[in-house]
Amino acid sequence: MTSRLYTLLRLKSCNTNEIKNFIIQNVNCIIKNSKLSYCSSANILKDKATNDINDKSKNVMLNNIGYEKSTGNVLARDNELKRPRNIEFLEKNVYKIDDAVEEIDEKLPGPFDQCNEDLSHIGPYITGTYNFAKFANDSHTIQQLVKLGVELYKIESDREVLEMFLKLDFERDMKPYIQFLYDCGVSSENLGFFITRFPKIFKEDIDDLHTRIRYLRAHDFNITMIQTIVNKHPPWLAFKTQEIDHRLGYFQNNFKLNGSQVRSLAVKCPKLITYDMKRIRHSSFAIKEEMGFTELEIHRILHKAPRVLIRARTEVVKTFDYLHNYMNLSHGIISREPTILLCRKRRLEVRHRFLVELKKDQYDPTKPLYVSPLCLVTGTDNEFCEKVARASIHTYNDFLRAF
Amino acid sequence: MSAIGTVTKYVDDARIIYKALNGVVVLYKSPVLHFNNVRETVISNLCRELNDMRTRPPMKHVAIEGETTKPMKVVVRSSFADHPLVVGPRYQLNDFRMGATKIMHKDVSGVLVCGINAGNQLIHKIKTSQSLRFYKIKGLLGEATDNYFHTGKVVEKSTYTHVRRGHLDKLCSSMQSTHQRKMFELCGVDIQSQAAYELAVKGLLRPADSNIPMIYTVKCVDFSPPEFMLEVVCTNETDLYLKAIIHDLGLKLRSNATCTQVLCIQDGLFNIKHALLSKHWTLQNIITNIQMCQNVINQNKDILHQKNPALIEPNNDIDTIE
Repeated sequence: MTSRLYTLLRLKSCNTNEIKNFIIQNVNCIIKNSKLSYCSSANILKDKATNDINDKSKNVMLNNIGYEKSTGNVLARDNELKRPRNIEFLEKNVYKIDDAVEEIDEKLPGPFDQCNEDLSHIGPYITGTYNFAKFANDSHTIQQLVKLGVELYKIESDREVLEMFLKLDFERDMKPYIQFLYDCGVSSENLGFFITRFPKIFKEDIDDLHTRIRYLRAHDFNITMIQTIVNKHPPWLAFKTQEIDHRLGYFQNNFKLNGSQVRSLAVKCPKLITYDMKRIRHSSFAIKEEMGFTELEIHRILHKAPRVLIRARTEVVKTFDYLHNYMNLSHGIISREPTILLCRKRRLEVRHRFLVELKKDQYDPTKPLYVSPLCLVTGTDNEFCEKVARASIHTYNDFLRAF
Repeated sequence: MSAIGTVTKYVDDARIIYKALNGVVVLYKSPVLHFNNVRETVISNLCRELNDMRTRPPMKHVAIEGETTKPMKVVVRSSFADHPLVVGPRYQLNDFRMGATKIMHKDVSGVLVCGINAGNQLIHKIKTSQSLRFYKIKGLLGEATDNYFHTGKVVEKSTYTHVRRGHLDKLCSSMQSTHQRKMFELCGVDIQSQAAYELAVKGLLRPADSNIPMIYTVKCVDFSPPEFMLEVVCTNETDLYLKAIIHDLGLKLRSNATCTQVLCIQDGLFNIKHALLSKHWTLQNIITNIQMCQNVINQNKDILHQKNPALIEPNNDIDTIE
């Protein structure tokens, strides 16, 4: 610091004010560097410095006027004369600054000193990421989830879940939930599937989950029923009891089902109960009004193939149109084997036309050589050729290629 | 020598098979499906089957553990960051590229020549060589629709009892001769020149421009009113062009006609007999098909770089590998 002050003073043509400002800044620096408590009074120091500079610059001016030719020499001598005073003035402070520095020196170790601390917790900063792979080797939680068989790559697209999983501790936060699931009847092989499908279970309150199970028990679902529901469709537990109650009520009233029918529907296809209500309304409209099934026939459909309500409405209508208008199957026959409504129209069309070519399209159960519509759509092509069409698979393949 | 001609070796490592999955494959595309659906199905089938095989094991993770004040341990274990459950399956949809010589419209069915991974380069060469395509097109008399296909809205109806086979044959042959006259104009040289004469002597020619549809043969192969079937040999065609032929025929017959089926039975050298049905789009079948197509291409090198402007008889003895 002292040397810097001197170099500044040596500048000949500097403006006094500029020098003054510089000095003040430097002094401030010194004050900042040394702890404030060590400088007796900062303002006094500043005043002294400025006064000193003013005196000095006056001298410089005089020198400039008086001895124009030998300015440099005189200046040097002048500065030499002045130097002792400055040093004397600064040395008081230097002493105090050194005191402060010594104290810091005691705390900061040198670069070559022996380190006796445990530094294993220190590591590089964690930069941004979009998946679990970055934390997989460090996080116990994620390793445990992998061992359970959770397909983490499927759920990492949900940022909320990603953040939640990284915050949770396996032993403290997750174990109670896994214990709960095990008690509900989710087998250990199925836990991975469950968490993959419904990772937000760790956000739910455990008492709420108990209430949701108790609700099912209160409505005469037996234990195996609850097991199948939870195993088949994990997101069921995300729905509040009021919501589930409302949904079950909707199915009961809309399709005029009795209690046991609603229960068997919920067990057979739990996804349907928690499905998008708007789409269910559209599908039920299509079944009732567009296709014109009666109430009893709808009961049969719901009993045997509830997925008809989940399948895209337009596709179901296309299949029904082909069954009813081209193959001339009555509503009664269709509703007795409702799984044919889930078949793609294309598959149905190809197989039906093959049977027409062979003149084996006899779907009336009262006549001989009856072909059940269910046999028509189920099974591989090999089975179909062997059992229904009784033709060579090569003939059928050539027939398929002619489309 | 021949005794050791083929050596059968069974492989269960997905990495070796993935490297072998480069080449041309012939598929049968059913109507209603778009090419993108076909591609998605094939690639996801391939991925699924490769992932079911023995795949790359997870990489090793080296960790230096323990307190820094004491001697530390170096632990090597399989990395969780490379576990299939964390980073996803080893083979994903993005690992495969698949293109076709012709992006088929939804209504068109039949032979689809596709390239998988490095096979796309071959596909590009086959595409530029302007190979012939053989179509079977079915028409229905008495109706006209707004999109020239039976799926569209019916806009016109008429009687067709007066139409005879002879009328159709006459129209087809006149259509064929008009197209062939057009062919000499499209061959890229002045029609009055000596070069044009020398080209015309060779017979049927390829068009110089790859964007102009060119029809070589139109033939009625089946006539049972109201349905009839045409066989068309052409190149550079589009689906709408073929449908429009049926529509125009209908108008010329003093009636209406709409197209009910467009079936491609041969694309270049690849016949519909070699095409894989959608139930056969499995790893095993696709690899066998790639080998077969490679044999065909090896026998007919000019399919990749066509130098001759005239149509020549291909080397057509393809031995099918079943």
